[in-house]
Amino acid sequence: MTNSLERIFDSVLKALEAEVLPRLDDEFARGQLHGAIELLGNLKTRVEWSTARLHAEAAARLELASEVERLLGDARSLAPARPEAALDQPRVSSAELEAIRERLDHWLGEVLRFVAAHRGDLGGRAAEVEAAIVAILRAELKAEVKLTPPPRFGEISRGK
Amino acid sequence: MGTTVELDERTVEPKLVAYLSRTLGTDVEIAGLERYTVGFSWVTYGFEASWTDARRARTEPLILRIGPPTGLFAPYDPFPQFAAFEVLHGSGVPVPRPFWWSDDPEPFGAPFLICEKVAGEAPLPWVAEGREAFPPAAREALAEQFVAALAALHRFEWRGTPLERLGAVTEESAARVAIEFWEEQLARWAFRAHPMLDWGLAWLRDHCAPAPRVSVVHGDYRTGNFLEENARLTAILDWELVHLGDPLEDLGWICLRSFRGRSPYMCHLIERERLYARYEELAGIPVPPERVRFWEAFGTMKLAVIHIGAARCFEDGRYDDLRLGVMGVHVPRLCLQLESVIGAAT
Repeated sequence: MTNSLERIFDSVLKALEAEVLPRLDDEFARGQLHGAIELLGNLKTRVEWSTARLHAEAAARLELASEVERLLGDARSLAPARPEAALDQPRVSSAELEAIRERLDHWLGEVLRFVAAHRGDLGGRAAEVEAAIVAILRAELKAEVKLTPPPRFGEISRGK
Repeated sequence: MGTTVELDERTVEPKLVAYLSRTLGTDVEIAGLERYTVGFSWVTYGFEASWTDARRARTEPLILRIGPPTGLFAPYDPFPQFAAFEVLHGSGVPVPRPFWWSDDPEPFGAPFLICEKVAGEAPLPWVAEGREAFPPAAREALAEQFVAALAALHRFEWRGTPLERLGAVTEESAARVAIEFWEEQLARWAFRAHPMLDWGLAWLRDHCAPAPRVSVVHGDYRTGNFLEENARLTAILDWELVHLGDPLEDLGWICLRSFRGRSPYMCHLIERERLYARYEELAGIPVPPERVRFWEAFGTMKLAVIHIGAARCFEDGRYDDLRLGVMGVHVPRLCLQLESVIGAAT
C-alpha cells in the first residue's frame, strides 16, 4: 500500500493524542507515549515510500503495458489508449513514480474492463491479456504481503 | 464530511438518562455505562437502566449503538438493524429484543438504537496460527446452532414485514445489485487504482447467476458477530449490512479465509462440505459448490473494499481509530486471496 504517508502520520498522531493519551493512567506509559508521538512527528517530515520499490513497480507495469499491447494485436486501436509514462529520467522522485504507477494501474483496470466486455470478439487473446496482468499483480502482491506484519486483529479487538 | 460528535461515556451518559426518562415518562437511572472495544463501525455501549413503571420496579441490561457521523459506513441508518431485530425476535434466529431507535440527530448527535443486552461472549475469529477458536465439543454444538440460525434466517418470510423496505431485489438481479453496490463503495473510497479488484469485479460480473430465492441476508454472518454462553449461541449481532439478496452470499462469507486462517473449519466452526450439507438440509435451499465459491470471491472483494474504506476514513482524519488505519495495511493480502479464490473457482 502506498497511501499518503503524510496522511497516515497525521492520523496516527491525532489518534494517539486525542484517543489514547487521555485513557492512559500510568505516568510512565503516558511519558512513553509522548516520546512515541515526538519520534513519529520527527519521522513524518523525513521519510517517503521506498523509491527503489516504486521504481520496480513502475518498470514492471511499463513492460506489462507493452506485452498487453502486443497481445491485443489489431484490437489495440479499440482498447483504451495507453497513458504517457516513461522512466527515462535519471532521477525520478517517489511522487513521480507513484503518479506513473497510478496512471498505469488505472489503465490496466480499463483494459481489464475492455477485455471482459469484448471477450467474444477477442477470443483467446482476452484470457491471455488477463493472465499476463494477473501474473504481474500476483507477484507484486505476494512481495507486498511478505513485507507486511501478520494481522493483529485479535489483539486489537480484545485490547490484550 | 460529517460533524464530529463526542461519544465518550462522560458525554453520552447524561444524554442517555435524559432520553430514556423522556421516552419512558419517568425517572431513569443508569449504571455501569461501558464502551466496548469490539466492532469497527458503530460505537457500542453496555449499561443497566432502572426505572419504575405502572406495575413494578424494573432493571434492564441494555445496549446502545450509535452510528458516528464520521464513521466507516456513515451516514448510518439504524432502521435495517432495528427492523431485523423486531421481525426476527422470537423466531429461530436469536436476536436481541429491540427497544428504541431514531435517525434524528437528537439526543446523541447521531442515529442510534437501543436493544436488550444478551448474555454471552463474542468469540473472535482471529486466533494464533495453528490454534482453534473453540474446543471440539463446543465447536460441534455451536456449529449446529450457527448453521440452524442461518437456515432459519434464509427461510424467513420477509414479505409483508418492514424488511420489505430493504430494497427491490429479484432472483435475477440479486448478484448484480450486490456487485454494483460494492463497486460504488470502491469508487467512493479508493485512494488509488486497484487493478486486481477491477479484474475480480469483471470476473464476478461474468459469473452472475440467478439466486435460488430472495432471502434476508445478514451481510456479516461469521464468528465474531455472535454471542455464546456455555456453547449455547445466544444472539446473532451486527446487522448493519443486512439486506435482501441471494442467501448463498452469507454462505460464501462464512467461508472467507480471513475468518478461519488455515483452520479446516469455516469460521473455526465447521468443515466446508458439512456446512453445505447441513445448511441444505436445514434451509431446504440447494447449495451448488460453484455458487458458494462465487459468493466467497464476492465476499473477499467486499472485505477488501471495506478495508480500503476503513483506511480512507482514518486517513481523511474523520475517525481517530487506529484499527481502521491497520485495516488498510492488509488490502494486498485480501487482493491476493481474491485471486486465489477465483483461481480455485475456475
